[in-house]
Amino acid sequence: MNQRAAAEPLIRIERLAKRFGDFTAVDDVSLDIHRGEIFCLLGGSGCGKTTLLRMLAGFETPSAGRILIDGADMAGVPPYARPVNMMFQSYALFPHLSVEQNVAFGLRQEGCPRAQITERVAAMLDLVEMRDRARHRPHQLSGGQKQRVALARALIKRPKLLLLDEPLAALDRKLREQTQFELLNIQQRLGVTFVVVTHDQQEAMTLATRIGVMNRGRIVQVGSAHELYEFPATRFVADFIGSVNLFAGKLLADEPDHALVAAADLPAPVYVGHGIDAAPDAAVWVALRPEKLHIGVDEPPVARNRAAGVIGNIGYLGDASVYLVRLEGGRMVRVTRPNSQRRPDENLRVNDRVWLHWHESSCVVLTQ
Amino acid sequence: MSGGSSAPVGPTRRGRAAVIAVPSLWLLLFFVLPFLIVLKISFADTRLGQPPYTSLLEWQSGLPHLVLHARSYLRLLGDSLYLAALLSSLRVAAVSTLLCLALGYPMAYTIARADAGRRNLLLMLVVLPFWTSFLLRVYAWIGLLRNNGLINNVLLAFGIIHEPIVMLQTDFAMYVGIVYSYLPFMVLPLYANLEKHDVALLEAATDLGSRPWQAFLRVTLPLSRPGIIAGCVLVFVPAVGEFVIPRLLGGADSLMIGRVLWDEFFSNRDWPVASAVAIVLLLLLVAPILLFQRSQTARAPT
Repeated sequence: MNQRAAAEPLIRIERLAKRFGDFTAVDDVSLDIHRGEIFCLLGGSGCGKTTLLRMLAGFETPSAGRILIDGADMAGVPPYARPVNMMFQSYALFPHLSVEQNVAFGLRQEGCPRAQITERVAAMLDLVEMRDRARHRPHQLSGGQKQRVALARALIKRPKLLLLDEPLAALDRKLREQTQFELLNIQQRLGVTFVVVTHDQQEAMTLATRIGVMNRGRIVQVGSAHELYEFPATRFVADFIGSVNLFAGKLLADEPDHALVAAADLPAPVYVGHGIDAAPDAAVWVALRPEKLHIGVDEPPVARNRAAGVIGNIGYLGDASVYLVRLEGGRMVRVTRPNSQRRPDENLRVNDRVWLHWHESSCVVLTQ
Repeated sequence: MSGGSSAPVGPTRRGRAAVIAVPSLWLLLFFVLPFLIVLKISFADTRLGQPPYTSLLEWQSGLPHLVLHARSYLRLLGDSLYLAALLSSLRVAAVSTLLCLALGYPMAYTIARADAGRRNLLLMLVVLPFWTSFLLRVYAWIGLLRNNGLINNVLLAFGIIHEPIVMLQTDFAMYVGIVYSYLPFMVLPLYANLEKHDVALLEAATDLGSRPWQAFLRVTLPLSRPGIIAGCVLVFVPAVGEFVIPRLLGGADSLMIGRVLWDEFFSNRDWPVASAVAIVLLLLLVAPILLFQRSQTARAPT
């Protein structure tokens, strides 16, 4: 992506809010979305992500704040006049029109010359590999095929911005994975900016250049998948993206190069390999990802950041196993380990006594 | 041999036959048999006596002979009165159907888009007139439309007109009566169709550049085609044969096929011609229904 274009955002959302009666669906959201990126709005149901998307499309009028697309204020601009197209969750294909006619709909509405329509529709159907189904009706298509037609229909007018509302939710798991990469491929070929709404963190992490995590109408954190996973800003994000073991505790020491947190559920204070910059004695949470906990029967060689426990349950997932370990205080901790790392002489079973330990750089301390 | 091994009839097959038997029997008794009787009479000749038509079977030298008279059908073709009445009925029915569509579509659309609570109330209001006798409602229109009726009296009282407008026993009154009586038959199927439309389709059209009225023309209207056809058939077919409304509200000169049929039957006591009129009318009306059904099955999603 070129630096200059990246510098000026395609979409600028300023202090946007939407209220339905007493309910605030979107609460004071400010956000920049850059040209050519895939931005995912990620959150549970009712977090306001779809309302935000519908305000970008023009289907909802903001209660406060404004939206700039390519520098132009969208206030009062109806959906049909915006340089934006949308792929609907249920696809919303016109049942009375063929695949071809569905894709051509936007161009015909523009009054595009017939020859040009034919050419562009054919090219678009080639792109989504639906040329051989051009004369089919939507009810004759499979879910994956409908999804591709909906994508083609939304892209035919070459929008600056494509909005995708849960684009893959209606597909089964196997197809979803394959389609994710197809979407990425098409987005890269056309260079259109995508804003994707999804509740599926896996989907967001695969697709997104950046993810905005939403909760109760607000954007909690914006960052790449890696940033959100490794450095979650809040407990909500840490818990929502992947799974995590959270330990409530109190900050004992806070130096520039390390910190100590006393967690009630752990036998000894946690040694964290970086400073926190929080008030002394502040209530904090230590987040430990299950795959960053090491599990074994031998006593760890290090004296700190360790805990003993008993295996309460084992989930075998094929590529990895999940161990639920009960610590001495009674707290259950989730540990995952790739099965390829299992030592051949070690066969962990339920009720085995085990040791857990973790590196000082694996801990994330959350203050919110 | 006892305990024979005849092919067992599955309970589902027997059950299905029983379920179909009831409507089949109903149709046979109350549609097919009367139709055959009317068909038979249409091929007879008139005679004085009881019944007032000849028998199709005659005994000549001990052998039964089938005697068919084409007289009724020839008269239908020969006398321009019947064709004129038929055309006039078709015209009245067509105009009434279009008026019902023009009034009923916006009504059905509004009801379908209303929120759930109001929707039921509005639907109730559409169906409510059925709770009163049809004849009573037509007579009520006489009270409204006649020279010293409610409408004229109000207009006179406010000085808008100085002489009563003659409305009763005109085509206007007849159309008012037919449109009023058949409007629910247009609204209900249209509502049933429009109510199922996915709002996302309209949003998709708007998103692709359609203004609201363009979205209506390109999405809502074509998708409501089955509802429009069903409503039109339900209004058009009974309106063609309508007898009571033209008689009570229309002018003395209004020539409707239903009225001709009545006159043939009760005034002229020409049962064969009356039957022939009924048969021709039936055949003419069944054709569009069959066409409609074929278009429906062709479009039904697999």
